[in-house]
Amino acid sequence: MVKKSLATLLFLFFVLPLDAQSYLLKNVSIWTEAGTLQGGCFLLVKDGFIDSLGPMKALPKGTFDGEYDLKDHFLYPALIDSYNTGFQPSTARKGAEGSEEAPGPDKNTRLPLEERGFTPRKSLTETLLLKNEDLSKALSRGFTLVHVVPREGIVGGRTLLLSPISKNPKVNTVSEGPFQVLRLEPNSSRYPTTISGILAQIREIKEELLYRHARKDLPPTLSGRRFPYDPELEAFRPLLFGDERFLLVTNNMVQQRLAEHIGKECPLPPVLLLSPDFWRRPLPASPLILPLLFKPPLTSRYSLEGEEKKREAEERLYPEKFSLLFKERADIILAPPDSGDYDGLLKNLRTLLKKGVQEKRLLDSLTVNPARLFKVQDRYGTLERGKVADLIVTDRPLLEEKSRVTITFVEGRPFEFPKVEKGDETPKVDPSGNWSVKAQGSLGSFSFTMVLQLEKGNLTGQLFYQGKRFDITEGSVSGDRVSFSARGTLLGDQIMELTFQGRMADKRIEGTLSLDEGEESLSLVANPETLGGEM
Amino acid sequence: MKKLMPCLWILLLLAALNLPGEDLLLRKGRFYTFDRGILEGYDMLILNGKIRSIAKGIVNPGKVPERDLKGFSVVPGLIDSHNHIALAGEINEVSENITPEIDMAEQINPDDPNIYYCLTGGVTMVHLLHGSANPIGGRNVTVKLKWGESAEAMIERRALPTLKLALGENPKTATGGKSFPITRMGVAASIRTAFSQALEYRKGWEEWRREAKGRKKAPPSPKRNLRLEVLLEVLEGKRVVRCHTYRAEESLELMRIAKEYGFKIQGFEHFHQAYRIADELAKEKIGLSVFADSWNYKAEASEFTPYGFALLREKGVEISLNSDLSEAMRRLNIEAGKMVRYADMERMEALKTVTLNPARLLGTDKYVGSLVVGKDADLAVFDGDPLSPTSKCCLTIIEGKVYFDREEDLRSRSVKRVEEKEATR
Repeated sequence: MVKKSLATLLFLFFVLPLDAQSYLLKNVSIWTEAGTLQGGCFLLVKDGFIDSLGPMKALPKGTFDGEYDLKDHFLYPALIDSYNTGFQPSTARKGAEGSEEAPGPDKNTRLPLEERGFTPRKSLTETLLLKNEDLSKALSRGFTLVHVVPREGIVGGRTLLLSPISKNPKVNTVSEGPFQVLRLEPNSSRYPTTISGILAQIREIKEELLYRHARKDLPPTLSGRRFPYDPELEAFRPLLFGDERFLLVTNNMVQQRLAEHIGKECPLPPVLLLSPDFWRRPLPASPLILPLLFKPPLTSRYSLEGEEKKREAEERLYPEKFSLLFKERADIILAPPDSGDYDGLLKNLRTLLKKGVQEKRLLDSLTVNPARLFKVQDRYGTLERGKVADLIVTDRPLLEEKSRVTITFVEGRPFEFPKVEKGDETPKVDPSGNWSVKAQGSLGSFSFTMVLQLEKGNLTGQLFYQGKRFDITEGSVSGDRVSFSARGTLLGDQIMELTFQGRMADKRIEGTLSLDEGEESLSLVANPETLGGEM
Repeated sequence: MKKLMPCLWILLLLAALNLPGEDLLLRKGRFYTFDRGILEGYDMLILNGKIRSIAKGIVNPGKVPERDLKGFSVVPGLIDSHNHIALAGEINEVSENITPEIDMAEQINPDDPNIYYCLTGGVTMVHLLHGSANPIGGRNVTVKLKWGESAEAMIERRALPTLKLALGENPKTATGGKSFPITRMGVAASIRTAFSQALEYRKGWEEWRREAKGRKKAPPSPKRNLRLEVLLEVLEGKRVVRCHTYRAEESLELMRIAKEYGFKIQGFEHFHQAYRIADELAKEKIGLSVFADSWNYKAEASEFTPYGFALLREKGVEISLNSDLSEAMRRLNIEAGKMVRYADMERMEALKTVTLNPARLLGTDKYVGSLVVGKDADLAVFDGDPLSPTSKCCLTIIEGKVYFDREEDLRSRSVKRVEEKEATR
């Protein structure tokens, strides 16, 4: 009890620097816990919390720092991103994805755990990287809480539930270490190099801890030896004997099966992050996080049976399996298809809605259910009096086509996202046609080809690089300015995003290409092979 | 309720017995049996995945689906006793020398298309081994190629538990000469050391048990070593050894080690110089899992003659042919045919090198490997002489269920081809 109130106090004073402002939101439709939108309501935000809410006739009197008349707008609890591997420096992952990993000294000496990818004490807070573009992307799509998961190592350290836009960036952690991440991807030269070896290593650690525990009260003379305290090893004790949980990240059926075996070694069922092939094995009762991806894993037979079958599976089979799952289980937690791909998530949510999954179920999987898993349900997840004022305002019901987040409240502070008018100037150039592009930058020079089509100021097309196809989205031409973003898979399942902004003149486009990492920018010159009609 | 429990258990048991396998009636085939010879124009009744009878003019007991196999040869499903398909990721725990805690059963990838490719050659059962980079590698697993089913459903639990050992070039060069062992002597020494450690480990536990016996507060037990416990399984005869080797002298050395520590070598893999120690192999009843005529792909594999099999056969060494390759596994029947030429075998005896002999090597000959009433209905159906390269496998059946049907496959492919043609037009 004391502990709890102390935690609340700490939370009030440090974790949540309160915003001593009050905002009244009027005439708004509010998303209720019953899963309906209730029109003609108000909600009062005060000091960072939801102070009161109800029908307009009970509108509180007084003066407020801000008032929003939200007629024809909709109010939802802010969304929770349950799996994000961003917000950390992008270093090559050890192990299967293959950075150069120096081999151990020899095959008869085993390196310590932390040199073999077992780093349970690694702290994300030390390397946390809050980039503006990541933050604004999350906010503008309605996500205020992000579960950041370490992306390196086999046992990669504790995850972090983050409110990245919290007022004080140094103390924006909602809770550190809800889970310990375990990836079933072995090392390339250090033990374990096989998937089976990961399980063997976990079992070995368990036996070692048991052995030490049995001797902890014995004097050194009786126990035969005294154990030096091994913090790396001891970090596994709460996972294998206590109440801490693994988050087991699986990418395919084989890993899912192994995760079940590892789960048997733990007293509490671990949280499983599953691949879209989840339905091919009986699901354990563990809490499940599912990236909402309608694409078979690379090793799945649905990837191997030819393009046509693969596409059919993507369009029909996988959405169906997801919607069936929602009929069976109410505790599902959804995550973006790829880390940070909120648009993709929304698109796929709409597909599920069309398949007949209840809207409430879908929104629960992004609000209440994750809040419960991360044990913050008393502060986040629903619109209730006394909860943290993390809310979003949309111009249409959230899951309707073309719905857009217009305001996101984070701890009572509003962030507005005015609608950007696309193509405010009429296009003066037409880049339609085939392009061969030579780019020069600090990465060296490289070339690729692209096909562009311009229709009503919207630019679409494809970009081809090393035999891979990138789809061009959000492209526009305004005056002589050409901009677009492209997205595709580069190696295996590795997603690459790039954005381009430039000006076109005399059959040339000059501009900057920003890559996914955001650290590398290149200037490029495009030479037209064949160009569409001149304006 | 308590009285009801035994009845419930019996019911459950009956249900379990009835669960696996399907029913099928094969009509007028040419059945290659090892005990009754070739039975032309016979029928085979399969119930619950088991062969119920092979006779002429069997009456359909109910609504059992029938298949006319007139002119087709039915042989036992082919068994590959050494392969590495359908395993996910790395199959060598290359980081250390002695790694029996690694278990291939945990790495089964039921989505590997090689499973289907191998079905097209009539293969129904495969022994999946750990790689050969370690003197003592991991545990192996025997699976039936039930394409489309889960890893658990594929595992053949009645097979002998096996452990992979390796001698020669692979284990001694795995680290590029950077760490022990870098000689064949070193490889043998590491195996000896490991088994000695296992014995020492057992002694520790025995001592503790003696001490703890009858005492109110027992001293804490020794630490469990899951690695050495697998080696103890081997020493206690619960698990047998399958060893990768090419040369005679080091194989003899392993046989000496086996005698010294009292474990069973079930089979030698590849073993090109086996004919040099045919007497010893026959005496110790060690089987061979070998290529029919593939050699000279590395230094230690240079000395070989396929005619050596004639000598081995004469001495009574049981030969099983393997592929070790997903590609070669699709034509194991042709490999068997080569035994007629090289090893002076009768045709039926040659067929055994890819059916009954590997079944025996895997300890599954009670259940598979020949067309005998009561065994699993694992069958391969060829459109001609099963040992001829001109014959095609037309049907592959596991426990009564058709997993490969050539006609069906071609039909779906031709549909696809037409569609592709139209798409590119």
